Amino acid sequence: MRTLYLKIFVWFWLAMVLVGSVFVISAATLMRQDVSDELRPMIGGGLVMMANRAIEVYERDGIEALDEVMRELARRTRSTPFLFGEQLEELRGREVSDAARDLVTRAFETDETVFAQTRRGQLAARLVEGPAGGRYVILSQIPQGRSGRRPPRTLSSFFFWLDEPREVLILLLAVAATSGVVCYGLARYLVAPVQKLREATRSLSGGDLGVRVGPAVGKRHDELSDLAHDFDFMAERVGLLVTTQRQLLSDISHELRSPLARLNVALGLARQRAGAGANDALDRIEREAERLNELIGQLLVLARLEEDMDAHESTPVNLARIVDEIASDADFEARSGNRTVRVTASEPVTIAGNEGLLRSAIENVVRNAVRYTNEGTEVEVSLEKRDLGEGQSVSVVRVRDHGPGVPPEALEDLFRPFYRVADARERKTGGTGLGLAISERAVRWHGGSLAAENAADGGFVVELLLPLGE
Amino acid sequence: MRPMDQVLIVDDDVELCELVGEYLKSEGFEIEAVDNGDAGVERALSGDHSLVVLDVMLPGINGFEALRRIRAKSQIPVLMLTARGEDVDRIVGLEIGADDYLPKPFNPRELVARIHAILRRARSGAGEGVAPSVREPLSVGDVEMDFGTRGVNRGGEEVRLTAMEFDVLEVLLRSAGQVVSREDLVRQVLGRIYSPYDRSIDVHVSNLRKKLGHEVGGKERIKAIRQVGYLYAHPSEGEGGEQGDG
Repeated sequence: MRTLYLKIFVWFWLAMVLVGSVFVISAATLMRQDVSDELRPMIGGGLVMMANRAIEVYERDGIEALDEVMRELARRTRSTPFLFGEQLEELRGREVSDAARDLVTRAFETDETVFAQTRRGQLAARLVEGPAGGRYVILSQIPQGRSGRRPPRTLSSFFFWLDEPREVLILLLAVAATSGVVCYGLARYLVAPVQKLREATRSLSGGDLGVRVGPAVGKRHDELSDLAHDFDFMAERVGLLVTTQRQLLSDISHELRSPLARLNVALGLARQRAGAGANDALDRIEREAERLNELIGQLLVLARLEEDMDAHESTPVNLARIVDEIASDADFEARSGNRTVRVTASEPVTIAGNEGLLRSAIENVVRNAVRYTNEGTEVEVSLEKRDLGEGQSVSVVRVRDHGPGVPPEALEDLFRPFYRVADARERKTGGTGLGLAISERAVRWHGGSLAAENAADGGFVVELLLPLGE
Repeated sequence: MRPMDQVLIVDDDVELCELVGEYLKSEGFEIEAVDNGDAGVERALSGDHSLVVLDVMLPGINGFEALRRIRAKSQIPVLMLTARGEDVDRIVGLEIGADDYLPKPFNPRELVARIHAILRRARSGAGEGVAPSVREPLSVGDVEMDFGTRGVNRGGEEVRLTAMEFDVLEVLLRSAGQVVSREDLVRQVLGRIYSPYDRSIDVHVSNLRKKLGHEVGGKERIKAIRQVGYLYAHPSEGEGGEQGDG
């Protein structure tokens, strides 16, 4: 989400800064009144004409007449001409800028019309000889519209702005700042609902089927709010399907119980009446019926675990006692198979939870370990508090067997219902394939997690991590 | 020879009732089956039966409610049929006062064994069994048990116990100050071999604690001994002491 947010922000911002810079630079370039080549002779001609008239009047009638004719020329050409004598003095005594004076100096050294760009506009100057042989320079501002506004022809003239970096820099900063603010807003506006959708999708996949985004996103009336409504619709459908499926599973399991109960009693009747020859077959039927029954029982537990998160009460549970009881029960059971179960470490731990769920979670893991540990070996069960850092600590129930372990690629699938590592072996040793799935869900219900790994020195380790709560 | 025992089966699965009836008949019981809780309570209180087999899941009033109504008027032995895996059902049933429970589906041999065990205990308690009612009252600390009336007094106040709790208490009191293993308790009280993951004894003990009080003379009345069983606190003052055939 942060990436999309960043991407939108950075890309839009870059684009806007780029567009803005190009705009600022080209605008500045175009504003620069560069005199095109075609206009130069015309301007030169104009200057010469003005100068001839002015010089004629000046040489004939003196300074006052010059002043008059200059005013007239200024009015007619809508410019401000100045006339300089050979000593670079403005004949009427007007002050001019240094740039203008430089231009006039240059004009005295050439026969060409010379141009200069100043802050106020384009200046042109030309050397003119009077009838009496006196040398003068006429300087004038080129009137707007006459200078032409063509793009510059050479690359070097494009970079003229390097001469005035401060102004351009300020402009560019302004562009970056405004576009930054706009892009930030845009990115937020676009990404915020996506973020909400993502959170909702997460909790949906996490099992919260009641999650909806409509109220948070629905006010926008755009494609994103449509998407939000579609999401809500989908969540609704998924919720319905899942509930129906769970209900079905639960119903089927319940319904299977009744015929199974009758089957068991009928089996008893068959035993009473059949001869000894039928015993093996009847034993087999009984075993299979028992297996079926166990399977149905675990399916029901699983269905209930997935069905309703609120269906189980949470009370303080003495974890140490439960671990003890389960270990001693499992030990009792394991001894018939020449295996043992031992509590290797225990701490007094009480957590908030559902005793029934915790019991079946731990019990399934322990019985699983008993099933797979090699004959004559021990299943080690321990309970301890573990510090996760950042002030968080969990209680860890660790169950370790001394069996063949689990292929590494199977570790992830281990908690899936009906997942079997090795089909043949599993059937021989019994089990429904639901035990660990129940454990995983029960632990998750408590906000904890289950971790499984092969021990370095052989055997299989399952850890149930349960949050300690306050 | 006693007359045949009448067993009342309350279960809405009529076919199952027929099969169980057939099986129990061949084991020497007489059977009456009803398929709903109301009729079950009415028949159970008629006094015609020695034992009631009561299913938890019943149309109308459920098994627990039926048991509650029966217990309000009668101490007739009741065996609850619970759904397997429903720990809560089992515990609630025992707390209300069922004598034992059997998860459904069940093995009919197991059913017969449980029925025999319950009836044997009920008879010994009622003085009909092998040991006649010559047993004297037993008193340990502030608790006194009268085997004639199956009544229990704590500090002069009557405490109402179910048949099962009474028997558990008897075993614990006779060995007060000594640890009684869970296996022994199951064998002596429930009349069956201890099986792991069966916590009904613990439910009975927990009920006893609730009814008698958790402490006696500053000590824990019934102490759980890890991985072994239970210990009833021996009265340190020796006052009252042990009487009867301790």
